[in-house]
Amino acid sequence: MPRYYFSLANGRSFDDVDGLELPDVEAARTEARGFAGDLMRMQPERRDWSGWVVRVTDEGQKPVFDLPFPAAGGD
Amino acid sequence: MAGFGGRSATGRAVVQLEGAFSHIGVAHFQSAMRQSPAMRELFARYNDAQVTLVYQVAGCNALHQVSRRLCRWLLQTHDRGDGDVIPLTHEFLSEMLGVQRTTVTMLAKELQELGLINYRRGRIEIVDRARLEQRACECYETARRKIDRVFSETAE
Repeated sequence: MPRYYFSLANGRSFDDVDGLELPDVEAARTEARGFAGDLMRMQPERRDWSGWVVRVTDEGQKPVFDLPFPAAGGD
Repeated sequence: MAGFGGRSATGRAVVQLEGAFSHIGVAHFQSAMRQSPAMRELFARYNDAQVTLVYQVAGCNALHQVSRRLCRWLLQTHDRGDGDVIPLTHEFLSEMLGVQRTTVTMLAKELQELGLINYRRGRIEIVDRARLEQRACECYETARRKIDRVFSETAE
C-alpha cells in the first residue's frame, strides 16, 4: 500500500513525518477531510478557516493534492 | 461482567496490554461466588467501580478536549502496564478518541514538543508523568481515586 503524508500548509504548524499506509488516493482524501474536521471541532471558537489547507504528499515528497478547509466553519 | 446473573457477555472485550491473564468458566465462577462472601463482595465492588467509570467516560467523551483525553489514556495505560513505553496503536487511540490517526499523530507531536512524551514512528514513551497529569482532564485523577478506594476497602 502507498504511504501518504499529511501536513498543514497554513495556520497550526504540523508536518507528519510518519505518514499513513492507505489503499489509494480516495482513502487519503477521506483521511484529510477527517483531519480537517477534527481540527475544526477542536477549535469551535474559530470561525474563519480560510487559508487552511491539508497538504498530502507521497513517498517521494511529491504533492498528491491540497485539501482546503471549508472556509465558513461547519462540518 | 457476565457470570453474576446472566451467562453471556453483552460486549466484546479487547485486550490492549500484554500480561498474565486468568479465565474461569461461568459455572465454576458462579459456584465460587456462592461459596465465598468475600469474593462476592469483591466482584460487587469491582462492578460498582466499572459502572462509575462508564458514566464518567461517557461524560468525558462528550465534554473534554481531545488532547486532554489523550493524556488520560496515556496515564491510565501507564498505570496498568510495565515500563514507560505505551503499547497502544494509533488505530486504537484514534478509535477511542473519535479522531483520525493523523490527528492522534499531531496531538502526540504537540505533547512531545512540550517534553511530556517521546514520540517516534507511532511509539509513545512517557517522559514527564507529573506534567502529563496536569494536562490530563480531571477524569484521570477521579477514576484513580475511585479504583484505589475499591481496592483499599476490600483489603481491610
